[in-house]
Amino acid sequence: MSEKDVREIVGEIKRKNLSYLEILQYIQEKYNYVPVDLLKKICKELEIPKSKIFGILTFYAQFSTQERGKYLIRVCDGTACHVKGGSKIINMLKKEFDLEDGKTTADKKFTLQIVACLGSCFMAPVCMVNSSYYGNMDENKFKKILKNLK
Amino acid sequence: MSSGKIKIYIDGKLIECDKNKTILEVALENNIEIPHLCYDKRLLPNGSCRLCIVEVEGEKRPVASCTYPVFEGMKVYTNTEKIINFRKLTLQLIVSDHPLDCMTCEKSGDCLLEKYAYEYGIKEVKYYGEKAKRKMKDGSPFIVRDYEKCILCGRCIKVCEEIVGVNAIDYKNRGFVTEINSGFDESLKDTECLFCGNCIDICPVGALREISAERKGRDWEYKKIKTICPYCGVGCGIVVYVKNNEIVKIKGDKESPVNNGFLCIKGKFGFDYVNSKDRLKKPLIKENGNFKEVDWEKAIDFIYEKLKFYKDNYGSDSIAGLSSAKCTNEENYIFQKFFRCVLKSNNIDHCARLCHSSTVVGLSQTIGSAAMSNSLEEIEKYSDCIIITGTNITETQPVTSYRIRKAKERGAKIIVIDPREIEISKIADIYIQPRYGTDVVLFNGIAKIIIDEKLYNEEFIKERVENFDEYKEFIEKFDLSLVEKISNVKIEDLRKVAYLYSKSKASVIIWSMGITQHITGTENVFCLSNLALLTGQIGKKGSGLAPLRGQNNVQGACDMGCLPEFYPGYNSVNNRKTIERFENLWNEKNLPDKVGLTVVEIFENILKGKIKCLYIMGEMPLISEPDILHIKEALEKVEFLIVQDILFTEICEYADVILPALCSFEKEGTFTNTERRVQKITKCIGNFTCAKPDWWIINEIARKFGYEWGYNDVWDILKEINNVVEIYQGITPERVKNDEKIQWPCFSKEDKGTETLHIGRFKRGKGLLKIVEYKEPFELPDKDYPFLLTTGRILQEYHSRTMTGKVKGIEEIVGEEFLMMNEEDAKENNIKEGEKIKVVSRRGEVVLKVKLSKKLQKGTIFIPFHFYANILTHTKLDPYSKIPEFKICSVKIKKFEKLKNSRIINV
Ligand code: SF4
Ligand code: SF4
Ligand code: SF4
Ligand code: FES
Ligand code: FES
Repeated sequence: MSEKDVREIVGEIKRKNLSYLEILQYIQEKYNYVPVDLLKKICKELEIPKSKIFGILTFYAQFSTQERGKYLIRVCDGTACHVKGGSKIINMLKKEFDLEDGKTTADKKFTLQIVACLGSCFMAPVCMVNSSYYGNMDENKFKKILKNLK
Repeated sequence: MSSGKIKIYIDGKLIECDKNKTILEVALENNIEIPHLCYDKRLLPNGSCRLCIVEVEGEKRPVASCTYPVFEGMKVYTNTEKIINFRKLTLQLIVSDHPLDCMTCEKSGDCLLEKYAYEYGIKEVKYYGEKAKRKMKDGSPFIVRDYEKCILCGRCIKVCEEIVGVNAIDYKNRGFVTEINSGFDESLKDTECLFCGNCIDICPVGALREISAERKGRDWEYKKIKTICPYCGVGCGIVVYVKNNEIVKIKGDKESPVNNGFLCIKGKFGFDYVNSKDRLKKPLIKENGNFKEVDWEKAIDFIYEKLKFYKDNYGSDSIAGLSSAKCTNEENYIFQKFFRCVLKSNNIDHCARLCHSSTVVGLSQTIGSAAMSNSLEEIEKYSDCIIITGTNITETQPVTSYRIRKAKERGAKIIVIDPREIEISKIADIYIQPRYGTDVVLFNGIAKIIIDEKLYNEEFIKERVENFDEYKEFIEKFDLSLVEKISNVKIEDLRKVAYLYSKSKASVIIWSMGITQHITGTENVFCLSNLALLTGQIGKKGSGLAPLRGQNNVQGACDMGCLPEFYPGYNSVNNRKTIERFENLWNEKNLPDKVGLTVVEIFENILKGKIKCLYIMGEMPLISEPDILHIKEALEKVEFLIVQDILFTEICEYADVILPALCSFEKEGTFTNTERRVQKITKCIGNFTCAKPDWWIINEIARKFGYEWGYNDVWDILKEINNVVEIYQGITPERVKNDEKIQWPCFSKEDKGTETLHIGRFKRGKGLLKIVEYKEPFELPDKDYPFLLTTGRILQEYHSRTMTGKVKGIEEIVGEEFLMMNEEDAKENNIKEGEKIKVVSRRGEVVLKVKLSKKLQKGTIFIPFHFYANILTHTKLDPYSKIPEFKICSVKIKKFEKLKNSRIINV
């Protein structure tokens, strides 16, 4: 993040008069995650208390401070999915894509998040890629889906 | 606020109460105990702990009494079986996630969780499960945050946000893994935290603690002694925790009407100096350039011989004394009495000369009394429009700034007028940034609008003001466009100020050194007084003129007559009646009746050879006076120098004799705070060295001269003050010892004191409007010295740092001495944050580390005066009050590359 980026973002925030929550959303949209260093700089420039923005950042699950790939993969390892083979999918991701929870592939294509329940246990095991759900998955089906993504 | 009373029933008991209260408030006021963890009466309720639940007839579920408002006829039950079971459940939940460490916890004995667990018989942990919280983490040089013990009540977050206005902490995460965090898991040191410690004092459990007190003792092991903070003019009440004759920690006194238990970093953590190795322990006499320890008798003999010699051979006027705004009223009283009765000299002054002498002279002339006209509480509760000008209030009177925030929360309008974009301007409704030294133009401008647009209070003027016609004529001719040209302020903004100030129900003007420390200091004060007189914004609750005092007892030192022009109680020196009265009271002849020399004049006269002896009690002029190099020369030159202090300070080197004094934790007496409140200081610890209270030392010297004043303790002196100083008549030792905190004037034992001054009448009769023409500051930037230097204070340090400089944690936070510079100026001069530069004026030069700031106007440099800024300032004085113009001089800067790691400058 260059000085110039910071200045531009700060200008934009001021112009749009964004609330703390909106600032976070704006940054996440722009970078696909919330870079902490950038956020700290913005706090300093705009004299926003760091504690407040950090409170919001950590309150909402939607924000990620980890750099994210183009596709955010969420694999459920909640009880229902675990029983039905969710962990096999996780093993596959590790083997085939070198992905671990919170990690991003070197080509910045995929990021993996392991979650506790996606609220769709009826079609366990469940995975998500960005905002689409994939139910009744197994490791091979899911591998194919991922390989087909550009 | 409507005042309607209503009736409610709590547990069947009929209670009459205000209608805009909550159940919990009413219950507590009526001594009905409802347990509560997150509620504190000084904060807005947030209803998070659910312990305060009660049943209200008609409500299906229990309600949180801390947020539930009362209504007519409501029936509340605080102790039903259902409620008790709910509370037990709540407590069990908290306890299940709490380390049951009570036997090793500092808070034990004073912990609300422990108390309620005891009361509700919570023993075993019912909900086994993973404990969520992390282990303890040290957040700072002062504060321990123990996550395991935190019950997430949110009090610390709220005090930091609502009272201190800092927002250093907030919740992190949610649900089971919630914790209090200072942002990005950083240490408090890397946040905006001011280390006021209010979060520690308000935490109901042991989750926040003072590092200095870890493992030093539990609640019941301490003697807890109430006294007054030794630092600034707010005069916060403190509770000193003493164990084995050592001060272990300090907490705010919740019962104090001054601070309601809140403190700033200095009051909370600034007591290390008490046990510093630099404390003076024995009298010292200089022999062949070395100090030799002597006993008191020898020291006093020596002083007697010398003073007598100079008095007999060179006359009384060859001797001068600086008393101390840090010492008690009683000590200041006896100091001036010694000078006047024994030495027959009026050459007595103290640092008030350097801070509010222009206020004293200005307001004495216009309304007759210069003290703050309203109480701090009035400002918080009653002022609707608050003008803050020339005072960086969050740093100079931090606890008063907490009240400004409360006032704002209540809906008061805040107007900040200051050339520096100070912290408080963030909450201002109107912020005006004038050019330095142009106050007269600006305030004349406001007066002009008030007159032109008929905003003045005709009735008030008719009854209580003189000189209106002349003043009106003058101001009508004033050219309003000068405001833009000279002050660089938009007339539109000024108009808003004029309207708000004159139309509000109660307006107050608050100021300090930004107004007073100019060669036009007194005239600046005239201008402020004019505004109050024109609009009648004075003499009402929450309305008046509020000069904020700097030192803990600067008000008292002035009241006691440690001024060259006044005997105690502001009785003019050059008035025959004063002299006769005091000759009578003191049973003394030939009291000096000529106005003596002021601080700066004393040093000038030393250099001229006229003053030969100087007696300094508790001051450190090598930081506080303008043009320090000059002062240094004078200290070298003066023939006989007595220094009486608690610490070996820089001036001690120059002394011929040094007298060790006790600090305020080791003695008794009274301090008078910024709002004229006379408060008792209490002895908290014994000092087993030879050091003595200042009053005792002076009394012994006087005795040597043959004066027996009959003082056995400080209270005897206060009794005499009751007799001598009219406004202190009713403030007797008995009442003071009874911890009554009376505001003067108080004329009799029955008199409750005076919260608001100038009701109905001014001390001088009518208020006087003053015609003031604008004058330029003495030394403005020019080709050779292109920057404007301005000086001021910072929160963490106090004055010459003789005390705060000994506090390790403060050293750590403040770091190296610094200056502040505008970012653009730095860029133009190729200067980076953190590098050292040399600042040069016509008087001297200093080398300081650069901090960049956006808050300074371009072309200005700010140096905290604690950091030798006065090597650079000049000694041109305000002709009325003799206050120096600390706020403006011109300097140039130079890159400074050598000596990169050297700490600082030599004086
Ligand atoms: S010490 Fe003061 S400023 Fe710092 S977190 Fe606590 S309340 Fe806030
Ligand atoms: S640290 Fe203390 S005051 Fe703050 S939330 Fe925890 S228990 Fe409450
Ligand atoms: S505001 Fe002043 S009196 Fe109060 S704690 Fe701070 S220094 Fe002491
Ligand atoms: S456990 Fe996986 S969706 Fe609920
Ligand atoms: S005191 Fe009412 S909810 Fe905590």
